Amino acid sequence: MEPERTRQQLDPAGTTGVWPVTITICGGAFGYAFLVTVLNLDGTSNRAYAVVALLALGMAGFIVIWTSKPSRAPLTGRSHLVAHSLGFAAIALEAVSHWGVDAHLQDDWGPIALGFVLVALSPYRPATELASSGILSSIGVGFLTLLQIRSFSTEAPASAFIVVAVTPMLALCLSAATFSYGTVVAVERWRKRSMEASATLVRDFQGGIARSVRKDRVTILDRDVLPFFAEVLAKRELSPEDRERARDIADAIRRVMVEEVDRSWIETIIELTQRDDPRPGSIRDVVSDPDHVASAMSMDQRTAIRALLVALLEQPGFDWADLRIVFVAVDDRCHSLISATVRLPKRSMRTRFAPYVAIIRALFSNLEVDFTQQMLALRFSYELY
Amino acid sequence: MSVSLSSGAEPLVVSRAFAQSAHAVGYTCLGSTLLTTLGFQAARPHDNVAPVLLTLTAMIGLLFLSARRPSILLSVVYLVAGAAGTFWIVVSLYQTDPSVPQSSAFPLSFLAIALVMVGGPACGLIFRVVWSTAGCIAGEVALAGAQYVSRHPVRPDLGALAAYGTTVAILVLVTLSHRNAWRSQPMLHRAALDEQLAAMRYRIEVKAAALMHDSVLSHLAAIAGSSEPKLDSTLRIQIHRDLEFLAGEEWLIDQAPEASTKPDLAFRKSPLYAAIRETRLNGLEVECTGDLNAVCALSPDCSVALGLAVRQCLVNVLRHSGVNKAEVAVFGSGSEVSVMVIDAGCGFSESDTSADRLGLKQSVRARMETVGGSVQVWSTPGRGTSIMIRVPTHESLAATRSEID
Repeated sequence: MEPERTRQQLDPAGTTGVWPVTITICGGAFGYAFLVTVLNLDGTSNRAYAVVALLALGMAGFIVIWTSKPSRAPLTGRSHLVAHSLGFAAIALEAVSHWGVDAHLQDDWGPIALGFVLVALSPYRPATELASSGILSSIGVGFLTLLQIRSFSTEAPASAFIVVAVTPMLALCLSAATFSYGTVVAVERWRKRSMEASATLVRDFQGGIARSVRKDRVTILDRDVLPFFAEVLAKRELSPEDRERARDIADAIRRVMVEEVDRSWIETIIELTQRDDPRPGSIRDVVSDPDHVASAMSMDQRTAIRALLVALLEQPGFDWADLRIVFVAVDDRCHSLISATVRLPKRSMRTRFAPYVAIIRALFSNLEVDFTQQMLALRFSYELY
Repeated sequence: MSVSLSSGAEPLVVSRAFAQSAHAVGYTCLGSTLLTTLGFQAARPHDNVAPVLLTLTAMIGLLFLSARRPSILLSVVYLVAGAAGTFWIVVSLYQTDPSVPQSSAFPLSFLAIALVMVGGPACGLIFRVVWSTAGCIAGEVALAGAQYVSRHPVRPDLGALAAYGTTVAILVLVTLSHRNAWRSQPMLHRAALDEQLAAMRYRIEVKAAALMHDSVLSHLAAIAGSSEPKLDSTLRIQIHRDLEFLAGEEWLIDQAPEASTKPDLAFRKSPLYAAIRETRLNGLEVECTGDLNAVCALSPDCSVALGLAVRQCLVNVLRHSGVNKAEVAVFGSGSEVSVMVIDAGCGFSESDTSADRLGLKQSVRARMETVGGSVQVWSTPGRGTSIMIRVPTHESLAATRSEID
């Protein structure tokens, strides 16, 4: 499924730290509404509605906070719809709570509070959705204001009251939509440039890689094959020993090739890491992939797992006994487990690996993450074909 | 790629998007003040609010300019002119009708908030805070000055102060909350590059393994299985040719086949035709059918891979099928070229094939998959074999790449 054009879905690693901001904005919106309600209790004609309005706003904020938690990503349009509906219900209930006695527009907390809820949603929802829902609610706010015009204490024109009532909601929703659009466009632009730069770099490496692969092959050829062929070409007749030797060399080469075919990309990463940066422990028991299903991962999925492995291997004192990777095929899905001993306090471990976990969550299904004492375990699955 | 694995420009991205969202608030506040003024004008036609409307339009224009071309000069001009405009608007409103600026239907805060949302040219947290502070001071001074000149009680504008406090708080929180994500960016970026290099190495290794299988293993098998005392002259020539080829430096570097503009010649110059010709020389009778020139629509990589894969299929027919006749049928559509190699030989079951038989696995399937193609095998023991190789055309590959971009 194509990701939506939200920052959370296009740049999961970059969005991992946003949750505290979401909590603060939603909490701040509720705190502001509570304060205004308490300060204007005398101007409230129906306090029960004021309390229910606060509860509705609290529920809207809670839903945004709950669904935007990184472990529940992505935040869906349905969550936004529910939170937005509750926020608008809070605006209506608040208007009813001081119906007929509203002396000043500035005493209405509803549009500003819902506007801040939209700002809190800006990393998680597309710009068009934020703008259209905010504009619709602004129209609703304008209509509610029109119904209350007679209770206001000045003789100003109705249109001016409506514009002023709508402005905070409109300003904040357009601000949220602009932030969402700006980050998404910038991430897409950066990704395009980055891919072009990587493609150029990879092309530059092509010659070197080809020579390195050729060198590996020529080593096998030089040792066994070329002397044999040279010998056979120089002879006039083939002996039974020549045929036997041809069979032996072919079997040896085929064995090496079968091993290469069977070795997965993840085992290759571990072998190369051990070659470049040796560390204690055996690499034989690190990966278990009896069904050879690691190869079914997409390039993005491999990159996410590679980045996590590199981050794990960077831990001081990390050795191969600390890592276990298991792939099991069940029907048309592969179920995977990556468990690692990480010598960090639980909180630091959570913070350090949050970006990698966010990317893996965006690319795989059914991710479960356990941060226990000095142990990180990720369970996830992906489609095989 | 659908998901960005790293966003190396993260601090700049957030800072710029934050400034743009601040500008959106500024435009809305100034636009609302303009509409409110028009509302008052409509309700009180005798009041002359044209100067106010002109000043507001100028402020919107300056905000637009400073947002489009962020520079210290334009930001300072917006703040100074905006503060002067705010002063002028409030003084003229007090002179026209003092009830208007005191009305809740004409919040002076909108003017001051529009100044807080200046954004500014620099991207760092401190600079953004400094510009917002400057905007807040400019707005408060302008409003207080207007109230003082108009002999009205001077009061700080709480709306603008609240907007300033909220802006700074969100800016600080957003900046601090991204520190951890930014730390992981280099590692994610490196992993993405490493994965691309690993994918390229894999493609080259598959190519090398397939070439090794097609040449060395094939010749060794021919020697091991020969019953003649002398080495076959064709095999001798092939071993000579392949030894020279493998000893060369560039056998793993992609080489484009020679292109031809004449359709009938194009097929004859394709690697597919070379493969068919070679197996014909080895004694296999190959009949070519279908839209042979469709192979011209393939990229050089795909064309070479297809030729080598079909060669391996035909070698398999010669060695294992028990017949000496095969058909190669070519079909072309706008997006792909399909080549079917059909024989009426003994057939086989792919699952029963020994794990060390690499011809179909390595030289055909893996080779085609590295260029975006696919292979399908229909074979039943005793009822012949059909192998369908599908390859995307050059145009289709280019379209897919541009869609990904």
